[in-house]
Parts: sequence; structure tokens; C-alpha cells
Amino acid sequence: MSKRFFQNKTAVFTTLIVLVVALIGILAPVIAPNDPYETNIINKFAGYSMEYPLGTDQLGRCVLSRMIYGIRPTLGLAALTMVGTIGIGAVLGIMAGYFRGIVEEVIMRIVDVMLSFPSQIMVFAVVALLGVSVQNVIIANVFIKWAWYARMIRTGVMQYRDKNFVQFSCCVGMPERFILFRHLLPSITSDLAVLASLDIGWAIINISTLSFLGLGVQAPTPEWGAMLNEAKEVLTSNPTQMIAPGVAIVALVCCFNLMGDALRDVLDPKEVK
Amino acid sequence: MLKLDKICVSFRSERQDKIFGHTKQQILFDVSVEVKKGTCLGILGESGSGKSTMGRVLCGLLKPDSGNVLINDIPVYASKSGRRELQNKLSIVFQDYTTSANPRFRVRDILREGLYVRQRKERMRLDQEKEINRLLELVGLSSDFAERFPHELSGGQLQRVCIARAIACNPEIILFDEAISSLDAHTQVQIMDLLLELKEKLSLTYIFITHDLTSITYLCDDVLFLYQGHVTEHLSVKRINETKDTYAKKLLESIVVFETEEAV
Ligand SMILES: Nc1ncnc2c1ncn2[C@@H]1O[C@H](COP(=O)(O)OP(=O)(O)O)[C@@H](O)[C@H]1O
Ligand SMILES: [Mg+2]
Repeated sequence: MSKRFFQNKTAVFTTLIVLVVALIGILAPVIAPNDPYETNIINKFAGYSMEYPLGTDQLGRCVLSRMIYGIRPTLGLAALTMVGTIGIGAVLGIMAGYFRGIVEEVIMRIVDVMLSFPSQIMVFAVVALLGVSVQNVIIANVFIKWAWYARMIRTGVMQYRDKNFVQFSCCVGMPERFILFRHLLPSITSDLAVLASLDIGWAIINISTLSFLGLGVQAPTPEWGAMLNEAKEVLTSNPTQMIAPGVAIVALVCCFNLMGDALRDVLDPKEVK
Repeated sequence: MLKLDKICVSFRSERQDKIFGHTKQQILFDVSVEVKKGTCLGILGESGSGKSTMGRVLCGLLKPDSGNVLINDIPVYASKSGRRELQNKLSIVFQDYTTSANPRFRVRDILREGLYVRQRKERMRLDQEKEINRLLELVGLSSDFAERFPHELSGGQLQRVCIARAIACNPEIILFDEAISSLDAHTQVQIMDLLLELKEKLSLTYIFITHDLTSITYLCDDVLFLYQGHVTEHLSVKRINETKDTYAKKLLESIVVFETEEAV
């Protein structure tokens, strides 16, 4: 498995980028050249310079430092969203797929109801209901997304449960946890990994969108979407200010999408080289 | 040792007259059979006659609507202990070898699963490496196959691995559900020879499901004809020519024709 991973250039490259970005986010206090919250009105809209590599924004704050600190909410919240989504989706999906009967009926009808709402509207509704805060954005995202995962995981579990190798395990009485953790979960992991890495891009955009609309991360916390929102306000006087957060969001989301594709190749055991 | 007593099985049919209808389609009708220790029972029937369904009832995966499955006079579906008893005694080899083994497992891991069952059953630790090599040798594969993945093996080789896995559990009965039907003729003969040899060596009992009469005459002691879920004939292979059942006769005739054509 690891051998095939290292042979796939896209997988290695994109994973490396994500890791480096994450590392920069973690080490933000060491790496950032300036304090991201320090305002300096006199020096606003400064161009690129040694002291402010990406210039300053409308309040004279260092854009690069804000970008670096912005990794934490951007990537961290997206990751948190995915962990929540997959966690809830996996538990309910496996329950529905494995136990069948009444459990399945109840879970799947709830899933159907969840899937019948347009997702963006649901996010707004949840945020409007619970109030504007980061926490609620994550709750809203998990709330609308888990149903997709529950359904996908249930389908996967059902598909593999009827495969002969699982039937053999049942027949000779292997313990349930062996069947679950050695047969079923690894089999659906590849689909899951692909979907998750595509969706983490979705989560980043979604959190950024909400921040852009002023419903997510609140000023003055640096977050890429929120920074884009601030840049929008000064679009006419300093158009270059939106380049850094805009490009960063696009690049990171692209990276996750490519990673999703590459992971599918890596995780498929029958993929020929 | 394994006994079916008046088994009926039905599935909910696809076409329902009412919206919440429960129209059922019966697949097996009053199937009774007894498998004796050390023999090989062949179950013969055309496609869709309910052979695999019967197999699933036999190996404890499908609870019948009515009737009893008894192993050494313990009812299988009545209690957990009966189920466990069957699980300890019976192992299975499937027709479709492409899905018989987890594509993420190496041959080594596939066999380990069987060995795990045996360890639990006999409450002792086995030298896994040695056992894996012994099993591979038993089914006529060299020990460097242990590191391969299922998709790196040919059909015959993979089916041998599946047989090795079935044997790894140290069962008393092995159920073959069309285990050789999807292999080519030459490999079929090789595998059947292997099965005969293993039966002698390990004193096993076989239940052999197939739609092919030739392999039954080669391998089995008794044969059971299944036609649309009914047992139409149950007799020993030696007396197969005396069958009164029309379907069985038709099958026999088709074989004769087949052989004469080949002779020409
Ligand atoms: N899970 C199921 N649900 C509904 N019908 C089934 C199911 N499994 C098998 N059947 C039906 O039972 C009949 C016998 O199938 P099977 O036992 O697989 O036949 P075969 O003798 O070819 O192995 C078929 O008509 C099939 O459609
Ligand atoms: Mg069948």
C-alpha cells in the first residue's frame, strides 16, 4: 500500500502540500513575520515589501501573517467538519447496512428527509436558528452533510456484505468485529477517502463562503474567506488585496480534489501500474 | 451427521399486487436429506432450482421458514450453541472465486482467517507460518504464493487457495457451491483429483453442489436431484442409471449424446 502511494506522484505531491500548509498553520507564531492583529492605519494598503511580503490591508495589518494564521481556522474547521460528518455518517451507515430491519428503515427515512433539503439553504437556516458563530457553522455543515455519508456507507456495507468473502467469514463464525474492521471498513475506506478528500475542499469553500457572507468566522479573526470579504470592501481602492486569499483558497481546494483522485488510484488494489 | 428435515424457504417476490403486499415466492419445498459422515453428497439441479439457497440453509446463513437443520442431532437455528456447533464443523468454497477472497488480503492473510477459526475452536496456538506453508503444499501450491494478492493468481490457483482456506478451519464437512463450475475442463479435473485426495487424507465429508453430472459421477457417493425446489430423486451414484425421475433422465441422456458426439 505505502509502496503504491509513493509511486503515485500526484498523491505524494498533493499530500505533501497539504501537510506543509498544515505545518505552517501549526507553526504560525514562529513563521509569521508580523502580528496578524496589529493595526497600523498610517501604513494601510502598502505594496509588497520585505517587511510586509504580501502588503497590508485596509487597517494596515500584514496580509501574509494573516494568511498564515488564517490556515488554522480554514483548514482546522474544514477537517473538524469532515471528522464530524464521517463519524456520524459511518456509525449510522454501518448500523443501517449491517443490522437491516427496523433500524435501517428509521435511519434511512431520516436520511431521505435530510437529503431532500437544498444544502446551502439548510446551512443558512441552521446558522440563523442557532446564531452566528464558528461553532454553529460547523454544526450546520455536519448536520447537512452526514446524510450523504450515511447513505454511501450503507450502500458500501450492503454491497460488500453479500460478497463471498464476508459470507465465508459469517459461515465459519468469525467474530463480528473482524468482519466489520478487517473486511467491511477497509473495503469502503477507499470510496470514503476519495469522497472525503473531495468534500474537504467543499467544506473549505463552504466555511469561507459563510465567512465571506459574514455568517462564519468573525472579524478580526483571520480566515481566508473572511479576508476575501474584507478585501471586497476595498475592491476599488486596493484590488490586489484579494489576490492572496483568493488564490490560496482555490489552490488548496484544487489540491484536495487532485488528492481525492490520486487516492482512488492508490487505494484500488486492482489498479495496474 | 448433517440432516435437513422438511425445509421450506420462500423469498418476498419482486412483483407485488398490492402496495404493501407480502406475496412470497417459495423456493424450496419440503427438502429433506441426510449427509452421512465420510460420504460425498452431490446436489444436482439446473440453474435457479434453489441449489445455492439450499447451500445457504445448510451452512447456517439462511433461516428456513419451516423445518429443521440438525447437526449431530443438535438443531442449528434454534440456539446460538447449535449455530456455533455448525460453524465449527462446516466450511465452504464458493463458485465465484473472484469475490471469494478479500482483494485487500494477501494469500497469507486469507489463510490466517481460517487458521484463526481453528485456533479458537481447538483452543491452542498454531505456528502460523508453518501452517500456511503446509496448507499451500497440501493444495499443490508453492510457498511463495503466500505473498501474492488474489488478483495476481489464476482462477485455478485462487480456487486452490479458497480450498486451503476452507481446510485451514479443520472442518468435518465442506460445502462446495459450484466450486469448480467456472474453471476450464482441465483445471476441473485437477481440482477434483485434489478434492478426492484431501477427502482421503483428512477424512472429510463433502456436499457438492453442481449442475454438471460428470463431476458428480467422478466425485460423489450419493446424488440428490433438485427440480424447481423439489427433491425429485435421491439415490446412490452407482444406481444412477435406474433413475425414474424425468428430469434426471433428460440430464443423463444429454450426457450420453454429448459423449457420442465427442467420439465421432
Ligand atoms: N435473496 C433472494 N431474494 C429473492 N429471491 C432469491 C434470493 N436468492 C435466490 N432467489 C431466487 O431463488 C431461486 C433459486 O436461486 P438459487 O438457489 O441461487 O439457484 P441455483 O440453483 O442456480 O443456485 C432463483 O429463482 C432466485 O431468483
Ligand atoms: Mg447457485
